[in-house]
Amino acid sequence: MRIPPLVTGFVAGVSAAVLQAIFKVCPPPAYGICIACHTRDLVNWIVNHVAGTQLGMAPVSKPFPVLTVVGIFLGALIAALAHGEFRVRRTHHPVVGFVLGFLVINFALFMGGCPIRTSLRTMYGDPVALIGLLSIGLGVILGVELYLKRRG
Amino acid sequence: MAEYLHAVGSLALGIVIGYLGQRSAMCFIGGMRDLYLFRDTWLFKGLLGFLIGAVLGLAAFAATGSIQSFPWFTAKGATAIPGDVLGKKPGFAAHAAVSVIGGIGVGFFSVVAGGCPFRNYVMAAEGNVTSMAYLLGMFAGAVFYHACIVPLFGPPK
Repeated sequence: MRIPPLVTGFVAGVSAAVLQAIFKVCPPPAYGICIACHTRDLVNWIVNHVAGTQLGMAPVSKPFPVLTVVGIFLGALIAALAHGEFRVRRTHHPVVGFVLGFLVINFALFMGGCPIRTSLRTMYGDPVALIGLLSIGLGVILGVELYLKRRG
Repeated sequence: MAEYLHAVGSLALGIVIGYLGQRSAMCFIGGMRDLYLFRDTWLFKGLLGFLIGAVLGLAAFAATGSIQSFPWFTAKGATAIPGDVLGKKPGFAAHAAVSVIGGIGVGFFSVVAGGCPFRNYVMAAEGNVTSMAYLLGMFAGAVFYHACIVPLFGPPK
C-alpha cells in the first residue's frame, strides 16, 4: 500500500516536535530532524573518536550522536524489502553521486540544515530560515531550467 | 539511559519516518520541482504536511511547557546552526545572505541528484548505487566542511 507524501510529511513534522520535547534532541532548538546535520553529527562523532580530531557538531550530539539517519535508512530498507522494491540500480555514475552528496551537504551545513530542518526552523519562527527555504525553491527553479530542461 | 534518550528516540522515530518515506517517496526538493515543472502538487503536499505537523506539534508542546523557546522571533536572532560560519553577532542580513547562498546550492544540486538528502537515504536503501555514493559524498563532505570550510571564517564561535 502506498502512503501519500502528505501523511509522511505530517508524521515527520510532529516527530520533529516530539524529538525535541520528549527525546531532548536539543540544543540547538528546531533540531528534531535534519538529514544533513544529523549525518554530520554521526560522522564527525565517529571520526573524532577514531582519529582524535575535534570536528564540530551540535551540542546534543557531543556525548553520543543522534541516530536519525541510521533509523531512516533501516526503516526505508525494511519497507523496500517488505514490498519487493529493493533493486540494484543507478541514476548517475557513482562518482557524480559522490560529488553531489559532497556539494549538497556543504551548502546545507553552510545554511544551517537540509530542506527538512530549514522547514522546521521556519515553523519555529526563524525568518532567516524562511529566506533559506525560499532560496532552496529558487535553486530548484534554477536546477529545472539549467539542468533538467537542457538535459534533453 | 537518560544520556542516550536522544539517540534512542531519533533511531526509533527515524525508522518510522524512513519506512513512511519509502512508501510515499516523500521529497521536499521533488515536491518543489514537480510543482514548478508540472504544476503537480502530490509530492509538494509532503512539505506542506511537514510544516503543518511541525507547527501543531511545537505549539502543543509549547502550550504544555515542554518547549519554551517556541515561538522564536527575530529579537533572538537566528536559531543556532552548529558550524555557523558567522557566529551569533553579525545578525539578520549576514545570516540571510548565508541562507541564500546555501539555499540556492542545496536546491540546484539536489535537483541534479534527483532528490533531497532524505530522499537519497531512502533511494540508497532501495538499492540505488548512485544514492549510496551520494551518502559517502555526504560523509566526506561533513568532515570537509568542519575541517576546511569553518576554519576559513576564523576560530570556532
